[in-house]
Formats: sequence, structure tokens, C-alpha cells
Amino acid sequence: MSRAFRLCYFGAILVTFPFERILEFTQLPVWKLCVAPKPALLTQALSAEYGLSIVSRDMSYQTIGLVSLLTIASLICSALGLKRRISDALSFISVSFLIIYWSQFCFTTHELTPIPVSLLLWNLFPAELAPGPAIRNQRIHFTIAFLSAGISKVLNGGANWVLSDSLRNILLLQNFLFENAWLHSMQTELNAWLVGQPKLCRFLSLVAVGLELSAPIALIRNRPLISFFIVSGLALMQLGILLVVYINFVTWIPIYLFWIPESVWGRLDSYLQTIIEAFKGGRP
Amino acid sequence: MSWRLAITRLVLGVALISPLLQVEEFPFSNYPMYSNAQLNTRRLTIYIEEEDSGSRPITNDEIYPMKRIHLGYLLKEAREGNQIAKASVTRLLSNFPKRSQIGLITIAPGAVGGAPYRVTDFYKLPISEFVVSSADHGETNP
Repeated sequence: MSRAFRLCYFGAILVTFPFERILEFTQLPVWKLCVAPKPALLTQALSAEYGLSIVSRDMSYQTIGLVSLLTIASLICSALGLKRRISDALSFISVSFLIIYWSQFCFTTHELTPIPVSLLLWNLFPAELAPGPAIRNQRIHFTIAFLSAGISKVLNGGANWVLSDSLRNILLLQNFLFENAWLHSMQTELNAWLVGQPKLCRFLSLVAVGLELSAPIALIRNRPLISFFIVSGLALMQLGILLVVYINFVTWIPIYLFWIPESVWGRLDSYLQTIIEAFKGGRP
Repeated sequence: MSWRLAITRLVLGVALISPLLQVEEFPFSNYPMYSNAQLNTRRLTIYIEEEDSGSRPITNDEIYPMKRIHLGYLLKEAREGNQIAKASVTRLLSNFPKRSQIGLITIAPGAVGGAPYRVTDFYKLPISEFVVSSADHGETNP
């Protein structure tokens, strides 16, 4: 696997991972620490049934800070390709640890959900062994994530998700639920304009579910144009979500990287090599 | 088939089955966010009654890092009888003025050039539906 790809993949996880937000939870007053109402995690189920707690809710700032530092160090080592097998495994374990800790409170979203599986696949099937199958596995996982979201909408919302004013109502409610979470006032103006266009909202909801359900089509071999349109469409959908739903999916950037053609990474690799050689050559 | 390939296929297989079975177990997910059809613009929330400035919905700042969306889910779970959620709501309410209330709020589009939403209705619900009562048993203080 390309050196540039490794640098970008682990670098993107490092940059987008919300270390500070997770650390905040160790310092909140008890009355604010709402526990996730459902034991959705295996760790919580084990804890509830058998008193076995793999990752405790009551971790100190120092402990989570130490795990965060370990995560940062392992991600940097992975990005630079230092002790690859060990640092890649540590990256998966420490990232998973932090997400499990964070998931035990009812404040989390699914913004980080695909990252542990992506890291697990990276460790199980190292790209250095067989780049082609490794990238394909990651692409399959990428499409499963979107397909899952589409299936959940079909199973939970049914036809009403598309045929009713569901999306319009969601957009309107977001202003109340995420008040002041927007980055720019332009977002609320765009949101208000969309709320005033019920037919467009229904069309957009149809496009969104359609795109999610058709994500696996992007896996068809030898059809790069179809893959490009579907993956770009999904990226645009998440950009739209950021603009009018005020939810940030920037943490998904690492799993988008697997769709960039290998030729691009090859060129980046040669640039990187030139920089490294220039750096080495500049040394006394 | 190498063991690596077999485990990789197993992981991907479980990831694919999770949404069909609506299972959410780390690290797999069925990505259920916003999957329910939102047929109205009502939401459960806490309302704070203030002596000088009247009543108002609780703000995101007051419950940070939680947001109103998380509070809504928490209240829904508590109302459905989830004891863990009830304990959390009880703790939350103990830190707000005694005259705080819980109910269904209705949201409508705001005026042009003004706030992006306005509250049109607040339907008050009995607080006892959301908090731990002395008669409740089981896990109350997770």
C-alpha cells in the first residue's frame, strides 16, 4: 500500500477524532452524566447481566488522557509506518476503547461508528500483503454503512419517510434541537428555505434513501464512472447534512479515501519520496 | 482460504446482517439515526419557569454536552419506563429550578429574518412519568 495513503488514512483519523470532547466527559458533574438508556453495547450488557465491566464509565481524566495519548502516538506511528503491525493494532484497540467509553453516555451519535470496523479490517487484512483485496474490503464496508442506514429508514420509517413531510419536519426540528450548533447563519437561511419547499424535501428524501440503498452498486468492477457518481453523491449528501441538518460527518473522511484511484496515490508517493530525499540530502 | 480472509469475510458478513436484524453491538451498527418518519414537529423537552422572564425551553448550553435532541430521547425512554433513563432525568431535574416542567413542545417555522423557529405550543405532562418514584425498584443510580 502506498506510503502516502497510509499517511493520509491514519492522519485523517488523528485529525478528525474528537479526543477533547471525549476527555470532557471525565470532568462533568454527575448530574450531567446521563447514561445511555439502552444497553446497546456488549460491554454494557455484560456489565448489567454479570457485573463485568470491560470499560468503566467512571474513568478518571488521567486514565482517559493516557489512553488518548497512546491513541495519538499509535496513530502517528501508523501514519509514518513505524512498527506497522504493532502500531496499527494499537490504533484499533485504543480508538475502540475511547469510543466504547464515550458510547456509554447518551450524548453520542454515529459519527465515529465506521472507524473501528475500518481499522479492524485494516489489521485483519493488511494492505501491504494484498493492496487490491484490502481496498476492496474497505469499499465493501463503506457501502454496507450507507446501505445499513437506508435499510433502517425502510424498516423504521417505511414509505412515510419519503412520502410524508418527514424530512421537512426533521429540518424544522433541527433548529430547535441543535440551536446555535450551526457554524454560519447562512445554514439556517438555507434550512428555512428548504422547510418552505415541501415537495423538494420529499424529492431530497427520496434521493437520499435511493443513494443509500444503491451504495453497493458502486462496487461494480470496471465501472469507475458509476462508482464516482454514487460515492460523490453520498459525499454531497453528507455535506448537505452538515449545511442544513447541522450534523458533522467529517469523521467519515478516512473511509472515503479508499475510493481515490491508486494512480493518484502513486503520484503522491513519488512527491513524498522527492520531499524525503530532499530532506535527507539537505542534512549535513 | 486463509484465516485472514475468513475472518474478514465474517466481519463484513456480520456488518451486513446487523441492519437486517436491527442489531447495534460494538463495533457494528444498523445506523438508525433519523430513520423513523417524523410525522409532526413535536418534541419532549424540559421547560423552565422563571419569575422575571416567564417560561422558556431549556437551552443547549444548560445541558451541555448533551443537546435537546439527546434530552428528547432520554425523556422518551424515561416515559416508556426505562429505569436508567428515569434515574438520569431525576438527577437532571434536581439541578434545575423546582418549577421546571416536562412536556411536548410544538415547533413552527420562524419569521423571515428572525429566529429559525418559534414555539407554538407546550403540552405539559406529569413529571411523575419521567422520574424515579419511591415505589420504583431496580437500578436507580447507575
